[in-house]
Amino acid sequence: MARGKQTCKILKEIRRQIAEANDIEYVTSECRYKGDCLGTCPKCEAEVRYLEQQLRSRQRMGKAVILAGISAGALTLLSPMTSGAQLSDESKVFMKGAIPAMTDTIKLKGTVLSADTLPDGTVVKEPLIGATIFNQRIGLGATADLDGKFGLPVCIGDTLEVKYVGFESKIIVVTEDMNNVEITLDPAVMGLTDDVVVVENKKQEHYLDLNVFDENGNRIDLDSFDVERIWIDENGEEDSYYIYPDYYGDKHPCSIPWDYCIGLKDDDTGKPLKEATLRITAESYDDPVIIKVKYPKRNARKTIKFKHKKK
Amino acid sequence: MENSLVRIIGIARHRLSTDGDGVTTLVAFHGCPLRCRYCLNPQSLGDGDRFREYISESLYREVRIDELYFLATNGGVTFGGGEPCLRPGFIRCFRELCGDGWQINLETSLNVPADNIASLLPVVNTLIIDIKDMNPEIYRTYTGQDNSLVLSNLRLIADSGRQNDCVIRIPLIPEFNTDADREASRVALEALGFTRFDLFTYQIRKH
Repeated sequence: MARGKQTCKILKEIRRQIAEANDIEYVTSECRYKGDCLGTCPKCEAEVRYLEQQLRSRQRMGKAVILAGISAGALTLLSPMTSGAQLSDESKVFMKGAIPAMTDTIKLKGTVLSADTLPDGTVVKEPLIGATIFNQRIGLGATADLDGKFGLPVCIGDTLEVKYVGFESKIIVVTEDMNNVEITLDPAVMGLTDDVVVVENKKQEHYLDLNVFDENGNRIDLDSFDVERIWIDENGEEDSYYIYPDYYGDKHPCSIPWDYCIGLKDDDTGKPLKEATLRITAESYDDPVIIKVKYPKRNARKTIKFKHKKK
Repeated sequence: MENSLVRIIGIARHRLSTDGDGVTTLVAFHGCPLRCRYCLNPQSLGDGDRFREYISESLYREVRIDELYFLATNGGVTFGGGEPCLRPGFIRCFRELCGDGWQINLETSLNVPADNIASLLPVVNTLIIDIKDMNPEIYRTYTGQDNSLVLSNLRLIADSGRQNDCVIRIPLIPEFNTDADREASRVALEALGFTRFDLFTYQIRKH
């Protein structure tokens, strides 16, 4: 394990150089770690975290951080090598005991339950159907079934995040003997007080109001006309998508909430379109009205007047 | 951006060398197109089952624990295996995550499609290429595969002017080639403009 001790010595020297270059108070001490040395230990790791925290603090205060390449020469502390690029085969091999072996992937099975406390103090556990269990390492998750059960590929040491709306999320680390684990989520604390205050609805933004009139100036009812977004697709043909304005009170009898309208979203990005061409078709009128509209910064209004064709 | 799962057979922290590599972490991929007689990491081959799967973000989160050493020593991550150049999209993703401050090195046989190498050249700093032998017959006998992809990728690297970013490892393979074969490989590689060589002898690990 002389190699491990040598690694530890070099990493310690690098830490000392970083601290010195950035005027960070850092006192090194003789390593008292017992056992096989892989070049690092909890104390050494803690020193790295301390230096990182100190460097971030200096950056936030606007001080220059000296880091890039300052310890490039520290590796000369290694035992002298023969000339030429002597890349050791040993460093390519994952030998047992020298490098932590990758652990087997297993399928973790478990159940997600809610923990509801009844007024009499008893705790009732019910399956949380649809709870999500997410493995951060592989970026994959599972959903609890009708019995709250799930299965997910994991390795020991993986971090799982268990979530369900209205409940406090839980982070768990996979350990040995965790199969058929029961995970209980507690209801989220809503912070309700005895006094309930009714708050007026905040005015919604990014609405497009359509004021649709006939040639006599009478408003045409929402049910008597259709609105479509139209565009030319990649084949050069017209495509369309129906949009359904809604009644949002007397001031907004025919309104389109742009942000929430599927027909006004970009298919690729999922974000609201910046502009659109709308075709409004009214009953008993031959010709539709076509208008171009832009994404409303606040609320916008468009007035559309239908006229019958001259005979 | 590709965000697929890759199989990793091992992650080795705190690799040190005097070759200007700085402190590096070796990440070894599962999977290799070759079946070399004296493979040092047979667990990277098809039947292996000891691996962990990662997406680029989770691997980055795991290895960045040593970022302080990477930046201080001009070190970073070396992708090996197995054959890392089979997963160019993953490595390109990783580069976007770690930024330009980390060195990314590849330990590769170059026996992969040219598109893979072309897409990796802009995002890697150094290629450590184990050439086996430039003689196609010796190559096939030792690895079980043809070396035409290797030769065309060497020309691709030469045409891109990246010879100085490559260290070509030319092994003496007991029972498969000789010193004279190694010298012939070196001459052929020098003709392509490669100048950095590591001549060494394979360890015999029968499996």
